[in-house]
Amino acid sequence: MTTLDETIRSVLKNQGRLAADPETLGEKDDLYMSGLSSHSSVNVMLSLESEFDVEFPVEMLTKATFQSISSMRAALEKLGVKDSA
Amino acid sequence: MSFAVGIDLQPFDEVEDSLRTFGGRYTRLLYTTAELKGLSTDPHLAARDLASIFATKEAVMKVLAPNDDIPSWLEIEVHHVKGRSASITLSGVAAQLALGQGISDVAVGLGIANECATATAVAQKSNTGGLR
Repeated sequence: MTTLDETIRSVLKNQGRLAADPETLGEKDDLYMSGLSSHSSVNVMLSLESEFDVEFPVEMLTKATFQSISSMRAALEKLGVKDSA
Repeated sequence: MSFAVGIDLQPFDEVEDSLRTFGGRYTRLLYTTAELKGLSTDPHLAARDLASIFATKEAVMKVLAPNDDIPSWLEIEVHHVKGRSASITLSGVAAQLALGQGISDVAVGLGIANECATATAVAQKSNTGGLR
C-alpha cells in the first residue's frame, strides 16, 4: 500500500517541477527553496485533491501548507486523509 | 514615501499543461470570469494569455507582500493583457493590504521572453494613500 509520503512525493515528481528529485528531499526541506513556484504549487494541490478525493479549503491555500512534505501531510491529515504507513 | 516592485515570470507550457490536466478546476481557482472571457478555445493560444495574467497576479502579490492574510488569486483581477501593460482591480484581502500600505495604484508592464510571460508591477506606497 502506498503511504501518504510516497503519494506526496509522486505528486511532487509529476507536478512540482522541482530542481531536485523529490525522493531525495527530507520531509521538512523547504520546497520553495527547491524550486517550487506558486503556479506549480497550485498544480500540486489540484493533484493531491484528485489523489485523495478531498478539497483544500480557502484558508489552507497558503504558502505554508505546501512548504514541505511534512506540512502537506499535516494538511491532508487535517482533511481526514489517513496514512497507511 | 517608498516604492514596491514585484516581478514574475510564467512559462507558457506550464499553463498549457495545467489547462490540459486540470481544465476548469485550474481556471476557476486562479482566474475570474472576466479574465476568462474571450479566451481562445485552443489551450496553446489560451495559455499565452493566461500566463500573462498569472504573472501579473504574482507580480502584484509581491508588491502587496502579504504576511498572515493571503489574498486569493481571484482578488487581483487583471485587465487589458493584449498589449504591453495591464491594469488591475483589487478586492477583498488584496484591497485591504493595498489600503493598509497606502497603495492607490499599481502600474504593470508585460513582456515575453523565451516562451515565458513576464510582468513587472510597481506601486508607490504612502501612509495617507487610499484605495481605488
